[in-house]
Amino acid sequence: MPTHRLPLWRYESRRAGWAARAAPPAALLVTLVMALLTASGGAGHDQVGQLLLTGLEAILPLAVGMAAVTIVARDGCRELQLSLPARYAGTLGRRLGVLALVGAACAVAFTAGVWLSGWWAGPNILASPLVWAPPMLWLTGLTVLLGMLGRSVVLATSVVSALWLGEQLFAGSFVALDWTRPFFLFTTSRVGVGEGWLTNRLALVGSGLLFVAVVVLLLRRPHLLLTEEEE
Amino acid sequence: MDIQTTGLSRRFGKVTALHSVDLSVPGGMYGLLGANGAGKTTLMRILAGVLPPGGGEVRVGGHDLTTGAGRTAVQRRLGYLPQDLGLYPDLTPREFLDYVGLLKGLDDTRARRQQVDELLELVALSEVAGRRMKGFSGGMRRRVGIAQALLGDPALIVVDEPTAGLDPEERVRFRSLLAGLAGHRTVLLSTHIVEDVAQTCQHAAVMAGGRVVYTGTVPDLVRMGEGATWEVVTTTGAPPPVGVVVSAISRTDGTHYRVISSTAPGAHAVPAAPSLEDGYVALMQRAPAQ
Repeated sequence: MPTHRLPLWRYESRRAGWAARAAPPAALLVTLVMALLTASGGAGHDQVGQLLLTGLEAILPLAVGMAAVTIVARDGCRELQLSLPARYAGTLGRRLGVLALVGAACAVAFTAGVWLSGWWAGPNILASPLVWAPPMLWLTGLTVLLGMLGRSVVLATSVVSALWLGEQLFAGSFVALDWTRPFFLFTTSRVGVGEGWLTNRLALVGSGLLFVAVVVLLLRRPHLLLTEEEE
Repeated sequence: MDIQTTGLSRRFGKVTALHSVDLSVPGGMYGLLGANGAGKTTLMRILAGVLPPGGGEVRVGGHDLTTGAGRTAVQRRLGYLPQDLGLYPDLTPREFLDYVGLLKGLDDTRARRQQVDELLELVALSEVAGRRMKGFSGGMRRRVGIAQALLGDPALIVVDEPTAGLDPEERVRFRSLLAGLAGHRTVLLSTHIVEDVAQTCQHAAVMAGGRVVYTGTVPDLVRMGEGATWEVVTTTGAPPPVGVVVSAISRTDGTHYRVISSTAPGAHAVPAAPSLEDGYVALMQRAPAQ
């Protein structure tokens, strides 16, 4: 990165706001507190390990997705931004990049901590990014896409939260069907690392990238981000 | 930097915001007058590259705004102050200008910071340059807005309703600031406040219902009110039965009405010399119903 671009990244980091900086660590902190409470309640090693894995695979990606749509949807200077020669897609990309970086750093640190403390219940540690990265990409891509199409944070977060909750509540049904199994978000924590796990991860990455591609296409017409009030 | 639009149109769903707008802006300070909803903001946004045109041709400084490349080329030489400039309340004016400067491609840190300091001085914000903008008044926010518009020494400045909501003192100060910028630039001032144009522009266009209904000099627009501007004094307090009342002042001898009407609005009506506001109202009366 050219050095003159560093100040721009610093500003975009501030523009990404507290949501980007606080949501990922907060999600993992909540997980940690839940695990401590569960452990102090007499739960077994496996149960606590599963809970920690759930935090990494389910809670962190949801938090990142919610933060992402907030970043895209809320900009007090959007009209001014659209009048500048710098592409607004690039500006949003930098802000989302900050979020992705914070999310990934938190996930790696959390994984290392859990693994070093002996509570790791996931796959080989080298494959651990596949626990959190695919659902994070998928949920983030879908939430931002819905936010842009519906031009509403509430709509996007509601739909994605409902989908997330639905997959948690009806995990058995999602896993049982051939066509939903590849897109089940919580295979590691709910099914385990076995046959079909890698396929599931790759399917999530593939479809997540598809959502991102559509978002990038929509950002080629950034005026679509103007809300009805702004129009 | 001249602006030429031919048959420019733009729709939002079923609403047509611009109907085949033909406009030629040669340079200097140019006023765009019109009531709220006349289509001014849509036109400003198209000229600033915020919105793509729906149809017709738009050229700014020879660049075709119907293409992405044309819009980017214009944006490199543009300063834009939107009607609702949100700002970022957690930033100081110095940080905000520095950030916008980076987005405008002013990559030389030293030159950018020097320019930021000069602009803060120009808009009289040097003393609060390190204070977060959260508690800034409307006038201070507009001054930050015009300072960011001036970053990079743009050849075209587009300002949309810059004095709306300002107190009289701020409005006068802001008008003077804008007028001083037009020397070697094109400054397009969109407003519904007639006085802003009267005090700063030599040329103006008037929009109504998404159409341009007048283009020409400001004195010619004033002359639209000749023969149609009247003063009437009534003792009953009731306004004259015909014409559009521009102003009403209550005095000891009765209420003094200033009326725009093609015929005398009463037996005691006296013809008056028109102001720009009178000319504007007279033009609006003659403009075809939308």
